[in-house]
Amino acid sequence: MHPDFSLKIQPLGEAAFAVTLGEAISLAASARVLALKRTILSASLPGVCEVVPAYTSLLVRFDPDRSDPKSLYDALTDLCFSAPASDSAAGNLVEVPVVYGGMFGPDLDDVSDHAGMTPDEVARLHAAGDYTVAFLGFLPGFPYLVGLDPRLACPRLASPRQTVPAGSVGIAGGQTGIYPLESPGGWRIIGRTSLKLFDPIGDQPTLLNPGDRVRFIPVGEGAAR
Amino acid sequence: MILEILEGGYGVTVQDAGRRGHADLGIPESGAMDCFALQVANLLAGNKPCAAGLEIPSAGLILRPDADCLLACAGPGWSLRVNGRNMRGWMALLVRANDLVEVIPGSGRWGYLAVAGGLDVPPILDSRSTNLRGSFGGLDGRTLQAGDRIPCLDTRVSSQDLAGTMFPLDELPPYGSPLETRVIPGPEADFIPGATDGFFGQSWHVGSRSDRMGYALEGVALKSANIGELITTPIIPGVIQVPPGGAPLVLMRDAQTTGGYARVAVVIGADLGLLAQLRPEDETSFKEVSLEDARLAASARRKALEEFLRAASD
Repeated sequence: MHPDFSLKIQPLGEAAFAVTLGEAISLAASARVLALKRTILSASLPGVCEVVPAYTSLLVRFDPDRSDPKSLYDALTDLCFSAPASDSAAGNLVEVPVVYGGMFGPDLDDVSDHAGMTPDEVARLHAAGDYTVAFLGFLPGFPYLVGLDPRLACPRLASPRQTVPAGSVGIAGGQTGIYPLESPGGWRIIGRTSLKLFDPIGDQPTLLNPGDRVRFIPVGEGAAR
Repeated sequence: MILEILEGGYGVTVQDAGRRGHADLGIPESGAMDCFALQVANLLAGNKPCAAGLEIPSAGLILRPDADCLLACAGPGWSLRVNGRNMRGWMALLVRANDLVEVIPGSGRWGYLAVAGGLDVPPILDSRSTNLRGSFGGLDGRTLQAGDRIPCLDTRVSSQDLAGTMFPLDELPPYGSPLETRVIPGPEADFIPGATDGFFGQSWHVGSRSDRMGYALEGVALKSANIGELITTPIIPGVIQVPPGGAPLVLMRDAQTTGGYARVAVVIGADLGLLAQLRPEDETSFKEVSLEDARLAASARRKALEEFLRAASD
């Protein structure tokens, strides 16, 4: 058991439990969440139909007619204490080509001002990071990445944009992520990738999965078109 | 068989019971806003309860089948007009090839049309439901428009025996406004001081900013404790979030899979469809119930369907 481990298991409606493992976003917290996800799924608890990870918590959905909430609560508590601190299965390493700045990264200058750096330095620092996909959320295939250099943290836009193009790479607070679809959004957009992050009819609907590692590769404008 | 859309289509989508099991990829559940009504429409049409049908908002719809078929419309107050003749909702109806079928809106916000066999659009990620934001599922991932031709799966002749069968209206759930929506307290129920009094102690209006993703509630805003944004957590349809402004938002079928606001309560499964049927300006209050109450309510709703099916197939 870890020092920052503070377990809470609370109902989220009659057919799900919210399991919270801690209150701080970190690579270690994500590793623990993903390890617990695998542990719960391999335990094949009666009635459990879905486990959804986030930064420091998971959702466990169950069929209330096949699973008694009290017994499930007890079983989940046991698994939380017995699960390993990280998942032994390593994720894929995915390289994501990005055009930083210009029309593809309209907020790169704001992020640079906020960080007290030049736009080039911000792009270099962002691309130098070693990121891990903590979970997918907000939009189908949208990766929430941990590993952003704290110097690049920047608040969201005061008022969200109506349209953020698919492939936009953004920063919100200490988080960085990629928009898989065109969508309204408030993240600071610093660049764009031409990779397709979501394909509902593909064998793998999402390019990235929880636990994958991501490296951003700066490329010239021609590559983004 | 083909259903041809002649008029309307605005906001009309193909929906089934929803797309479960892909939330870890960020893919919303989707599915009928009022699953009970879709299930009844399907049983009347001789389908499995989870077959794909049309979900129609208050604008209504006019369509024409190109073959004889059994169909049914369900939804609070919703009905059909066939070749100008008024026909009841919650009833199985045999229509002929090229009949003019008008779906007439009722007091509830959503109506459902099921056709024997079910709509034959390709299942994507285990469901035929439309995901508008991701532009997939249903008919090309979009709402319908005049001129659309929707294929239906083969009809079975035996289902025509159901023609004229009605779902007993006294077995319908308590649709209408004001509603008392039953909820389970959420993980962050005590993050907002006075939330319990403020949330449970007043009647809320459904706001105009309400759609398949979420219903905004209007009333005396809950005092926010400046808790700011929380760490993003998984969310599901039925969760009631309270953003910093203090106006609650009920997450509906197309809600995103994660969010960063306090989850003060969760609408029980049996009541989410009733809440979904409220229109802007309609009212609801909230009542706390236990997990067991919620399970029993869902199970009673399911039993009503099973008993109807048994009676209809006798």
